Amino acid sequence: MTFAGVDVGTESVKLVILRGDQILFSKAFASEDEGSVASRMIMEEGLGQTGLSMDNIEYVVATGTGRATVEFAHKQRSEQLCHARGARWLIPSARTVLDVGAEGSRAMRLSEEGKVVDFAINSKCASGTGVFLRGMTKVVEIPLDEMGAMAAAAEKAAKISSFCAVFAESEVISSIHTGVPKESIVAGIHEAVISRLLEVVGRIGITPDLVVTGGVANNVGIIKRLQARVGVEVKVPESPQTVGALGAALIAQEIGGK
Amino acid sequence: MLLGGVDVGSRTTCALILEDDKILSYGLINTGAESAKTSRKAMDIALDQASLRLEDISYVLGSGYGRFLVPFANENVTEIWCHARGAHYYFPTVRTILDMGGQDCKAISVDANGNHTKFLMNDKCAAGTGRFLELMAEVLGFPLEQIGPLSLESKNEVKISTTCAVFAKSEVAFLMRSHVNKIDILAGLHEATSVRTYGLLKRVGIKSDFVITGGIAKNVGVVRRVEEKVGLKALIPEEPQLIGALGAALLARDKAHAAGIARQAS
Repeated sequence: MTFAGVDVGTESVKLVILRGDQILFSKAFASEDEGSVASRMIMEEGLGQTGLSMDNIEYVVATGTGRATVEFAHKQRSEQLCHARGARWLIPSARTVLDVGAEGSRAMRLSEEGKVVDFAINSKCASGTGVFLRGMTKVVEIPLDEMGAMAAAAEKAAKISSFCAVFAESEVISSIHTGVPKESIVAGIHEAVISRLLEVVGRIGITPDLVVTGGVANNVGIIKRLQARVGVEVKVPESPQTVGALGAALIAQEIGGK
Repeated sequence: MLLGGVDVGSRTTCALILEDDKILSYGLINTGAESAKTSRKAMDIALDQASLRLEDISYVLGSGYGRFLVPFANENVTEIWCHARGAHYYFPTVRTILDMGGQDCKAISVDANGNHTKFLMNDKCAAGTGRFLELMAEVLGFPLEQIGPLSLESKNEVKISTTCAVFAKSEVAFLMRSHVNKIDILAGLHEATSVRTYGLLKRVGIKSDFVITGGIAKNVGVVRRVEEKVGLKALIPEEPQLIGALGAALLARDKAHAAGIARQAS
């Protein structure tokens, strides 16, 4: 029996097609389309690549901020549940899951059995999100992945005192003007994001293992510097962006498989 | 005696020259990246207008976010003092001041003598500041000075669900793609700004008379909405952006007097 999980985020849509414990398809792509369109497109691609038809999919669970727009979904589940579930399946030792997406972050504390027992969310403020980092790529004129690598390698981090993404951009512009080395500025940008993330995860506390999911988990600068700040190993699954969709597919399997 | 006050804000710098009780001249310019040069440039404009030289000014106080970057100032003070004092000069009955600037928003309570007794500030978040409205004007494609009046023309205000300026930009872009009327979006953005401002005012406590200063005092869309929520008509100085510099010059006068008296006594 085959199951699917769809995660409609603010900037990208993700799909995982699952059969037993085998992932048949897993993909994320950026989309400006409305959730109903983007989710249908990625499903068509998934079905095409696996040679399946919609009739072959037993049950579909949707998650993400646009989860209500997925017309072919049987059920909706919160991002907290899906990210926790997906992360736990990939890394069974996970007790704290931090999901950092384009427009928000969420931290979940898991019981030994993997149940979500507490969580904290930031969805109100752009600082500490993927959007913050991407906005900064334009200011420092360095592509996102290069910026991450630069931050990972940098020793000194320039202090960014602004909390707000808008003010931080102005602050970075004046740091560039006053000749602060770009490596330090870039490291400072990453440190600022980490500070915001620690505020979110701090509300529930960190119980190892700490697993980071979401698109921002692909940023080596964030992961390396976060590890230095928290003092425990930070684990990142192979494809952190699709963890929510995977969790949704696992929940679909649980509900629909019965 | 000639006194100078310089208010270096995050977006606008004002230098003002006071002769005893009378405003002689002022210079109002964009702050830009080099605040030290900017403060001098604003002062030179004021000096030119009054046909004076910097040496003629007995005492200069720097204030505002960039107050440490006024090399010719004798001293510097926080802008809270200055706004209280400057507003009191125009409106001696003032008890509550709302100063809405480029990158922050302050609610100040003052006593009968124009001394501040309590104040609250948002300088952490762009929402509820001039920067927010400036960004939104850009996204919507309206000149900044038109957005206030335009926002009052809406018959069908849109509710803006995000607070963050960055997210609001995406929300506005989405609303525009969905062909929502731009005036209605603008109205919603002004409402959101006013709600945040009112929250700050409520926490500091609102007493009559109520004065609005700073650049956003020129935005009639925000002023009307704040007045409605507060339930008081706002008093607004003719040039709301010079109040900080005026207050600094008035405080410079006090300092100069105190120094003069001290000299005589010794």
